[in-house]
Amino acid sequence: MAEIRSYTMNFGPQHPAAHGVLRLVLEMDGEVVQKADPHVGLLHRATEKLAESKPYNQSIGYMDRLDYVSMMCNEHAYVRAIEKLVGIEAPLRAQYIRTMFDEITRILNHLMWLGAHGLDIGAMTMFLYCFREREDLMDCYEAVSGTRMHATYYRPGGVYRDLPDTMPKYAPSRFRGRKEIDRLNDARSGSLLDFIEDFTKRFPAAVDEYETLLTDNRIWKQRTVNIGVVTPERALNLGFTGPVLRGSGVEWDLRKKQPYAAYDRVDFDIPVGVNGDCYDRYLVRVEELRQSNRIVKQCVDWLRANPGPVMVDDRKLVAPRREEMKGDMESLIHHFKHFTEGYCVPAGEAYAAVEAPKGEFGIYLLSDGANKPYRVKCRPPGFPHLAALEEMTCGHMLADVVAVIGTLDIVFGEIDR
Amino acid sequence: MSVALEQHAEALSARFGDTVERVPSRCSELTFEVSSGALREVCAALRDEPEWRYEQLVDVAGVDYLDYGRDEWNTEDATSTGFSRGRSASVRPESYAHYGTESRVGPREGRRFAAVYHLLSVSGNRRLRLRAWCEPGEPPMLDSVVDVWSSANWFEREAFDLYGIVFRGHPDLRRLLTDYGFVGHPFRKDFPLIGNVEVRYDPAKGRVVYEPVSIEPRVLVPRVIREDNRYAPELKDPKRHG
Amino acid sequence: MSERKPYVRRRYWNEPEMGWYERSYFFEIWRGLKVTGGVFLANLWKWMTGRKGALTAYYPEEIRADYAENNRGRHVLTQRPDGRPQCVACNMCATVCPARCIEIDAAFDPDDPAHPKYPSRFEIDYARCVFCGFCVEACPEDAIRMVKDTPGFPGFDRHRMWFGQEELLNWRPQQDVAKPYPAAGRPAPGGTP
Repeated sequence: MAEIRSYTMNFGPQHPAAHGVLRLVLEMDGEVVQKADPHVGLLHRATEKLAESKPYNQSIGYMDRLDYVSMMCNEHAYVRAIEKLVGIEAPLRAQYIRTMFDEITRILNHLMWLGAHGLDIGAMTMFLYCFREREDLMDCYEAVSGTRMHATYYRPGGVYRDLPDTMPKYAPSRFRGRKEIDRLNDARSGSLLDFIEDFTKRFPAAVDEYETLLTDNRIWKQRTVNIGVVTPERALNLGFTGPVLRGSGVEWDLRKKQPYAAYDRVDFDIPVGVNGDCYDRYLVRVEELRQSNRIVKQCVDWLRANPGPVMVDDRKLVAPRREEMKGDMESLIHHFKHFTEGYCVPAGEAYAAVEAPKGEFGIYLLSDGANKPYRVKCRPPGFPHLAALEEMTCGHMLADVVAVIGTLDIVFGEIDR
Repeated sequence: MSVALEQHAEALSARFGDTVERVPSRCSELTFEVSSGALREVCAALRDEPEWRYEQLVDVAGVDYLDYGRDEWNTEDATSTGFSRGRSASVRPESYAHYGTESRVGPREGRRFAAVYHLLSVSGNRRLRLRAWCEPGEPPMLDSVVDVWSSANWFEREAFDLYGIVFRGHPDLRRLLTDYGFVGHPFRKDFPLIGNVEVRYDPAKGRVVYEPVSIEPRVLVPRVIREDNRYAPELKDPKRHG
Repeated sequence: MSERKPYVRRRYWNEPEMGWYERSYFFEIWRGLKVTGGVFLANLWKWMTGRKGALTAYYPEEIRADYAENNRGRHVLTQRPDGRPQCVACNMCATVCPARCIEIDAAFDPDDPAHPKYPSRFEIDYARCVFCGFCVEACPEDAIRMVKDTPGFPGFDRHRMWFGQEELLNWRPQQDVAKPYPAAGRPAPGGTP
């Protein structure tokens, strides 16, 4: 009888299913995982240390780059931490804009997750279909902030600018005729809100399409049902948050339990799983797509009816408007002071968490009264999820490791920071 | 701060006696300082006893209080020179006489490192922050809470990696985020922002080489602390940070 | 967690239950193929009739023209009517830059009493730029802008990604001082973006 030995296998860091730069050292018994040791940090950029060396506002852009699939949610946590410490509240319209863009971000993230997860375990088409819808939302990002991903749009005290009245339009080219362009530009003829509303009308049909392809798909079920089961008790103890926790059957969502922004003013439901396996987490996320769509719709309706300021009127915290700065000496001084020195945040500490698409994204901010944070600690949701990878994959086969990594929705920008 | 939270805080203080000390907070968050010796018992009780039920450890953050309350630029009286933006190689206080160097909060009795734990009670919908000061000395030591909350595993590894805090009883205290063979603890305040070494591929040698860092450090904005009278003065209590 | 438990091989079984409908195979296949095949055939038909079905762009030949108006693409240094930079070398943009990618050397020009201070060197390191737009917000003179453009400057060497004053001024010359400024918070009055 042959002697059975365990093999040590290196998975990643440049493996397409590793979702970035995960290096996983697997100890295998045949094809069954006995031990999994994730090595992270290949994307470590010391964001927190960099933030300590800059005035508060300059780090907003770095928050986008933490979880680079759910950009604005990260900004939201950071901005909320500052607002909490300074003791200001953004105007209601800004809160609604933030809510809307948080949910757009959630759709963006879940589409990315669905596509990548599908691609990992064999559903190539999903990737293409998800990116088709993602493209529209990226255009919303671009229209409102100027960039497609790293928006730098939220500011302490509100958002940078109000929603634009026009959408960028496709231009005719030799690849697309006038008629085709007119069809594509039809939804873009109005304002950004019109475009988003049009999207919310189209989107449920797209989700139906995804579900047709996956939910009852027997291969999909074979790859996900009973894989990576986590009990509710373990999920809490392991620090899971977000869809991974809800997939295990724990009813916990910060948007409902500790509402922030305008979440207490919109109507939505929280999907909860039963078995805590990969399939349940998939179902939770797909249902979240539909619920986010609902929230976006309500925000559009509210924003259309209620114009108003999107930034607090506080010269010590917010730079004056350009035309004021050009005409008024005091505003010019404020402008210079704001951009050269920034603002001092009173000494103290605050922890602000938002329900990012991946779970609870928190910022722990410690200030000693200076214009730079003394300590910024990002609490990435993917970090405890990945830490539990060993527990979830032990006893599963190698191919299921890919399914579990996919279902945890790991992005290395936030785990490595 | 809401009444329920206040009652909760009082009950906590009563239950744990002098092992915990309430710290006032600006924004209605519960903060307690735990004496490092009792950390593990307090945490186990907070998780298990039915009136607290903090099922989740959300976050562990290491903090280095070395430069706390210390600014790089004096804002109380005018100086004759400007802050040379973009050209100053270093703003360590000793090289600039007119920088405000005194820590305004005062020494924290020689204590430098702390770990900040954020707990979450899902059933009670509450949050709690614990701060435990490390035992002084090198390396700073604390008890591990991995056996209370499994999520502490990687968070403590991270704090060890970035701050050098050694967690007693941690099963697998390795570096987590930094490079294999990294020297030093990069988030300590005395570790330079630009680092000490840089890495590049050397085509002549055919391998990756480490070299002393070549970036020129630039400080564009000095760190200033302004007494701002907009924020309520009764909250500006230096004891808040121990 | 403290000591590793001895490994127990778990029973591995994840076969989901299937009813007769799924078991009969063809209905399910047809349901899926209706979605994917529908998209495929529609795009094929468009392609055969000389149109383009997919939303993707044929990149080097077809460049998307639909950037938003306030897209943060590449930097432009605006010019005065005589072609000199409007910049007064106040260093605000360099100060506010989170990536510290702007370097300015100021110089004195005695022949121009209205604008005696000008930048003798203005460089942006695009290898480090994060395209956050803070420099545009901070500039009190409207001397630096970001215009919609693909920032496509790949380079084999990061030292070649420094862009100097000449390039920034002249790659797409802009003079119009009356351009509405990017407003903080509210849209600029009377200005079309």
